[in-house]
Amino acid sequence: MKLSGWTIIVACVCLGLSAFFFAYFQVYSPYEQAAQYFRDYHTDLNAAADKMPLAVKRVKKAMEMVNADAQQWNQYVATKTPSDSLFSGGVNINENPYQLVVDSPKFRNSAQRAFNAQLHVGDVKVVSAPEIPQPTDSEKDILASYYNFPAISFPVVIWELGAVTVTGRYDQIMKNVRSWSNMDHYLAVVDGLRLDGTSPNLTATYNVTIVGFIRASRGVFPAPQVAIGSTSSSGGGGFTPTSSGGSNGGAGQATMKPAGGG
Amino acid sequence: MKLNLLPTHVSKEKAARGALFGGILLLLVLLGLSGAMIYKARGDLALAQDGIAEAEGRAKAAKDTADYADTVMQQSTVLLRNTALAKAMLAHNAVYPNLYDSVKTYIPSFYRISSMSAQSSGDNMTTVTLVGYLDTYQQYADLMLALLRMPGVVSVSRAGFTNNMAYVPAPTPEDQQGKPHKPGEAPIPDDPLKRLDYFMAKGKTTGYANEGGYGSGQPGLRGAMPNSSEVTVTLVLMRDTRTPDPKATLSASGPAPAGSGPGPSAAGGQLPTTTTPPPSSGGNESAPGPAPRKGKRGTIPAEGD
Repeated sequence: MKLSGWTIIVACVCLGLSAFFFAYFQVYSPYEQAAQYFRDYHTDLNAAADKMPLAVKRVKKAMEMVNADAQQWNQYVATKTPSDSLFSGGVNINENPYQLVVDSPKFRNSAQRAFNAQLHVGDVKVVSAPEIPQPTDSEKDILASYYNFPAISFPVVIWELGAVTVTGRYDQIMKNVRSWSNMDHYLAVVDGLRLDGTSPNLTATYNVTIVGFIRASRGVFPAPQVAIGSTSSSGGGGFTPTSSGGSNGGAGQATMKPAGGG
Repeated sequence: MKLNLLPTHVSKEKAARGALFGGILLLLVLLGLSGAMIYKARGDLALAQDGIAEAEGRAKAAKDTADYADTVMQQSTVLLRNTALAKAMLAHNAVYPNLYDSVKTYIPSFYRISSMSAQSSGDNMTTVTLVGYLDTYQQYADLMLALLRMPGVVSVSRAGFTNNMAYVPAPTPEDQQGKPHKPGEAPIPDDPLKRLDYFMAKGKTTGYANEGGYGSGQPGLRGAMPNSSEVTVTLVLMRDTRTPDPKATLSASGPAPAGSGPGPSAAGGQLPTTTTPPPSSGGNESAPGPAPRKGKRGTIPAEGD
């Protein structure tokens, strides 16, 4: 059979185009597209990698914040928490539960003495004042009921004592209220201050809440003078805190409540 | 007419040879182009893939480092919260004295205070209630103007003044001129004798009135003087007097881990005790992973994001 010239040309062109289209659609175009994707990905990766100095700065900032708070906390531990010795007005929480039942009323009495002394600061006269609650005599739940452990992840006494009424001059009362910040071994907060009467004989009523973070030698809480990791190196050094905390959203925030003015 | 005497296959063979040559040439060109395209595409892909693993490692290191800041903050939550609580508690004890000191400055001397209290009414808003005594209706107006000068005051409201100013009544059969008298009193008669009786009947204080604790000789509360009114003023100020809530704050740290024993083995302070460096900047080529996320992370602002 004889083929015409055009038939041969067309056949060759078709064959060539088949190879060409295969090369283009099956190889060239997908490979080029993939290459473009990789180039974009590479650009994104480089952009992300370029943030390393910012990330290091961020870590450093976080460490500085934590270190600053840790140092501040150590100061509070030294001055605003009861000692771990019964004889110096504190309590040793690591005693056995039976001994703790015996020690806790003594600790409570020490706290009441400290509270009573604080009430008179500013030379005011106390009209009425609350008593610090007595601990339970049950060794089974004294930790839970009095030291809020393990409901709170560390032992702490929280005494929402209620209303205190004192009389005195305006300046005496203000000094008295302000002085609660200086109470030794405890954190105290006053709210709802109300003044009544005719100067200079004023009557003040306010609510007091006292918090005592209990020291525990077996745990690390709240142990003063803890070594803090250095933050001087960029990206290196620092520390990993030892146990997990709560959610990140509430980090460093104290819950506030509306104060009652009476 | 010309006559072609050559056989027909002679010219066709020549043409077929040319066509075959041309067709093969075209085929070779197209095959060459195809090969070149495949070669280029593979080269481009290899070039684009080059360095990806290294970049992935660096990106992962940057992400891990940034995430480590979150870890630091997260694992120090209790420490940060306790410190914040302590700060807030200590700072709050001066809030009320400072508030009253600042309010006192703007209370005019003619408004004699017998009670002052304050109550938080939300974020950065405090309601201060003053109870005191005023003598005249003019003072009732001046008091408002004086208190409105206070910085940060949102509103001032007042209540309680009893207006007993004399007023001019309409004429009556007994009082044809409408002589001024205080609210609640009978008209003053025109007749001189009746008027004398009227004023004689009004005279009622014969001894020590003992009003408002005055003249008692004992220190204590002094209330309203005769003809004075007890006035209650309510001020809404832009001041934050919310009180830290220790129980709610400390409870937010959650219970101690199970099995922590009778003693407080759980760390309340969450103080750092070990030194572990954050992820280094070295490449990690094991897994590409997603690109680092953008935007803010946790509670630490990501600078430059």
